[in-house]
Amino acid sequence: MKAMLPHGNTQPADAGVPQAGAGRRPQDSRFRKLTLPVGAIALTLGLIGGARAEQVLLMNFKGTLTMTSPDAKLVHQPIDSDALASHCLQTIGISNTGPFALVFHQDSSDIGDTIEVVNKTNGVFACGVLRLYFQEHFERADGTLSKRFAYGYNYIDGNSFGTAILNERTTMDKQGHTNRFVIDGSLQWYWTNAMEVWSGTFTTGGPLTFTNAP
Amino acid sequence: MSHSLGSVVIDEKRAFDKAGDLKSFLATGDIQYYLLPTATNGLGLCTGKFRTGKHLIIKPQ
Repeated sequence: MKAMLPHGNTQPADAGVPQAGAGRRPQDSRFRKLTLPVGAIALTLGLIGGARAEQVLLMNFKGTLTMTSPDAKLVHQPIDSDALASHCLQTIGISNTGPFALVFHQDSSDIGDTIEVVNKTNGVFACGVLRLYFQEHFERADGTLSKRFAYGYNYIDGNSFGTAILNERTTMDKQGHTNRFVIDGSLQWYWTNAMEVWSGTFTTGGPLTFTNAP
Repeated sequence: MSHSLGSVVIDEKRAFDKAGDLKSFLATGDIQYYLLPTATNGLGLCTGKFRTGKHLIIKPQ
């Protein structure tokens, strides 16, 4: 068990969600001329240093929930992304999962990533599934693969209650531009408030852009 | 030991005979952990599945 330090993420419910226009380029051409080389340098340094950028990716999860039934039997229940999101939403009293999506929020804070349920339309945070903090990682020299180990935390307790293995895969075109970015991996954790063990694998989809961000 | 380096999900299955005595035991599971860097190797990640076999019986010398 690894205890989360007091400086752990205590962000408000909608913090960290990309805001409208956050990544918008300046319209002034002189400024654009200035920013493009800086951006290129930042990209190069990022690739060399393995730096990551905050982004929200759709997440596809498949796994198993093991729990104790009322008659004291162990039940193994297949779980997908919708079921995982639904379980999370139920903890805050929401039963209609339609407007929500399970997402992988890369670099949601300076100590790691989070798996969250957000509103599909505006990206507003609804509830958190796992915080994947204090990552140990190493990369391929060309930057196309980063393998990561993370401790899993919930949004209640300070101790870790699971782990994740993450593979961040980047494919680049001949000019060295990123043309595809995917994270896949495996998760295993237990739920503190019930006798439940969750495990499974996941793959991310494309970055989510919100049409009606607040 | 300062903190954990990984986690394991273990399924333990036991079968009992009619007298209630343990007839068989099987543990299976998924492991994921990391290996701290050493003088010769960098950080390592290990993932996998395991399955136990028969009981080891250690005979006294």
